[in-house]
Amino acid sequence: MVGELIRLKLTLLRRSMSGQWAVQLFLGGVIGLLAAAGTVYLATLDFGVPEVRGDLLAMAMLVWLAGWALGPILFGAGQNDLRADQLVLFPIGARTLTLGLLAAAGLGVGPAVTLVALTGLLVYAAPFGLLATLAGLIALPLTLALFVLLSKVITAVRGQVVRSQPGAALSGLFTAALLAAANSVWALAPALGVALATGFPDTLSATMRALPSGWALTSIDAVGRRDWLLAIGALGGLLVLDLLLAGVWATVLRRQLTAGRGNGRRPRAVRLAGVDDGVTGKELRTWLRDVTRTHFVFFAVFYGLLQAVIPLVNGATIFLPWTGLMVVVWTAAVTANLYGTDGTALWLTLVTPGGERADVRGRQYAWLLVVAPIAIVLTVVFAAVAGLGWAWPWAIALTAAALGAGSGAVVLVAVHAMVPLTDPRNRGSGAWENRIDVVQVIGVLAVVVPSLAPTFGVLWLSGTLDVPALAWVAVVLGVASGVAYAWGFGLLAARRLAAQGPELLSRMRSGPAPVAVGRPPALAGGTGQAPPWAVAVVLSCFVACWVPLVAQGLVPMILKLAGSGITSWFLALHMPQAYQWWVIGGMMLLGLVLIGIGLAVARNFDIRPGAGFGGVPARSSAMDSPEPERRDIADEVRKAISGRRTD
Amino acid sequence: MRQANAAEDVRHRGDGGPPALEIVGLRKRFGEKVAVDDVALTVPAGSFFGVVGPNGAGKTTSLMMAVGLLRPDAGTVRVFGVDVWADPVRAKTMLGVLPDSLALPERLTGPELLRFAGRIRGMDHATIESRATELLAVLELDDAGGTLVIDYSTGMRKKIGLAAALLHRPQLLVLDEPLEAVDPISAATIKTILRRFVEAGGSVVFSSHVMPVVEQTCDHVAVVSGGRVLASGPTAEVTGGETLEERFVGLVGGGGSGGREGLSWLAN
Repeated sequence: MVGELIRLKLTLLRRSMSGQWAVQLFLGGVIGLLAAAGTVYLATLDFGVPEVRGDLLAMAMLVWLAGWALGPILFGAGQNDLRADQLVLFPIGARTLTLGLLAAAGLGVGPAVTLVALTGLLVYAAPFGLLATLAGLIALPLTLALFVLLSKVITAVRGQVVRSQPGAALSGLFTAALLAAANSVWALAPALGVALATGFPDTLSATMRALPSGWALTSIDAVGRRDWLLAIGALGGLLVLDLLLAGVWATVLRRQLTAGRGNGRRPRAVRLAGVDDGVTGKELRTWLRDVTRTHFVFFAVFYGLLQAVIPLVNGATIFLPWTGLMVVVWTAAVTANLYGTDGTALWLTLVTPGGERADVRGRQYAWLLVVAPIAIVLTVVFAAVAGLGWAWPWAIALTAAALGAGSGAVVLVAVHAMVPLTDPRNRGSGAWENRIDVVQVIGVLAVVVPSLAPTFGVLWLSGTLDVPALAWVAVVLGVASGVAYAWGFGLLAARRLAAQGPELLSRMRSGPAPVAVGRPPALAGGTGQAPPWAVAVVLSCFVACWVPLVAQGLVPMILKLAGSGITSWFLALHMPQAYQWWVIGGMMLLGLVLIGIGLAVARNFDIRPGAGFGGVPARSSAMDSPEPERRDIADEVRKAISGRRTD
Repeated sequence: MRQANAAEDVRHRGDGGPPALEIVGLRKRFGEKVAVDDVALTVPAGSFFGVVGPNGAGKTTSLMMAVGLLRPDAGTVRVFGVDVWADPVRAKTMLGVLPDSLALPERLTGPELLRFAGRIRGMDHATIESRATELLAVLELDDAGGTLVIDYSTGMRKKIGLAAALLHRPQLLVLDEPLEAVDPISAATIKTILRRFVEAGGSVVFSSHVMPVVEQTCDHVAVVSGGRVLASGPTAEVTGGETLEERFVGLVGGGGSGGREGLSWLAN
């Protein structure tokens, strides 16, 4: 049976090797392989202090672990994953099922790339002798299993936990903490240069090795020191942890399969004094009752809070007054899939005369009713705590402008860059398929950030000219521009919805429209293909852009700022002093242009992931609906398993 | 209040006015597949019109295009003479729609859903309350007042969708499989409601693949298959003395004799 599941997974992988999925897999593979090569390269480097090599490798392992933990949250559970609920009707024992699903989960681009990265362990172990290499060989599959299992457990547990508001809050906090921690790593960059020469602080190396991601290294190091007990302990620890995670996963899977869809939940009675029962009322009730939405508000609030609070560790209070502002911006960025989360319920708006305008305005109003109180409280409280008198008008003006622009940006992005999700009633108990969409985040930021510019400009003037009264003019401007943004962006969104509502609904039902207005026949359910040149352009742009942007731009910039004196292969740093900044700037611009070209082509040919990126395609089961069928995984399962059983 | 009183509008029954629904040359293709191929239908005002066809015939696609939910590649749709795609606001004022298998605002209870549907149409609170209470009672959804729509059964979803379509007293109801998965008692209720609606001058178009239901209730019928209209007109004319089912099988082909061959392992 395990063999059958593996075969099934391979079939699904093979099927996905076409069109947009192939592009996506290929891109992921290339980026992953670069990262893996970097990890292995770390293991070969020679620094003045011998421990540095191990410390760096341990950090890299932690980054891989974090990637596996965060992956499903940021990018959605894999589209090609076998899902337990598809197998529930077949006579397969729980243990076999877990083992089979684990084996199937171990197949794919992600695990393959990670396996390459983990060979860095062997490279690291080789100088310590044969026994250390042997320890590395044992630790390698155990660590890979740890990564895969952790990712699976997080996906499954999250599906179980995020069914109630406290669960959504907890999950939001977890995601926010992980992301904030990942962000804060960059703050260590200046310290890195020093550490490479003098070694990392002992506490840091100890922590890196004490975390499960570092146990493989701990074991290899221990063999090197002939500390057999620790060596075996670390390997045994990995094995026990793997088994434990597998046990948790099996339990959660079993519960998921038998728990049904949570029937009989009592809706929270929502009394809305003074709020219309129309769109605003519906939206507010949905915000309060639908955890797929609230989860993101919780995430954004915690993320904004952590970003403001973490610098307090260094005694920096300067970030506190902006907490409300950051929460507003992040909430807007991650809640912009308003139409996607509701699924095909859009029809009710579309059959209503003039319903589009009412719908957009109601959604904006409800969004403000949810976000504004949080933002106001956070701004007032944290500005007071920070005790920075001058910061008050800044915080108030920018938060007000951001609230208006945010309420406009969410509806604008919601209609322009909707990500189709499975209709709410078909989202299984564990299939919690919503995710943060990068395109939407960029879209919202692209609208909100420039919108703050006028207000910021006046504030900046008041600071430069030292005219405090001007800052209060900025407050008026912030509020006024906020109102204008909310009104104007909302108007644009309503117009778009009125003009393109049926197309939006079609995308919800069947993924990217087979024949969209003003586009060449696009990819849909494998019936059409983007022309090869388009795929090639997108691929080369996304693969190549990182070289000028990061490797020849960002990195030399940091090195130059840090005054490291390293020149290596960085073109800019080989230039005469006067030209260095120009070359760095030019390189970064080149990278951005490449990304822009890639995005433009991808958008025109709809190479962008469409329906079902986060799970099952959002198409209805209308029996009469002749839209091209997307491949049905359950059918595959049936064919592979039933077929074989009767052979 | 924009069209809350559409009910009191002039009725267009048998007075030589425009048909309730007029579809001409409607086409839609998805990629390579032509789903709807030059469909033409005329639904006279005041008629109870059934659309029948096998799975994948293009019924849903045609009805979605007829009510403004799916943009046709070609063709025109007029509701009482108003072009649905050129003047959607006026056309939608006269329409009540129940699509098949689409989501609803899932996190609302039934009464909340009806209030939403009424308010977004600009109806006043008192009218919404009185009509919603009556509709919920007649459709036997009043016991489920505290249940979210997401927890409704398929039949209950059909009923609440129908209630939302009726709430503003449209002149033309377009219903896609309104009786599917609805229990027999509720189905009888719905048929009675729809008959009364037609008697009072309203027009109904509904799709189904249950022939006896269409035969009993509809005075007009269209047979659709492979994206084309094979026959259309008054029910008696279309059936020509046969039962609708016999006529349907004759038109669509296949003879209804599938399933007699193979499967020896199952039948022994």
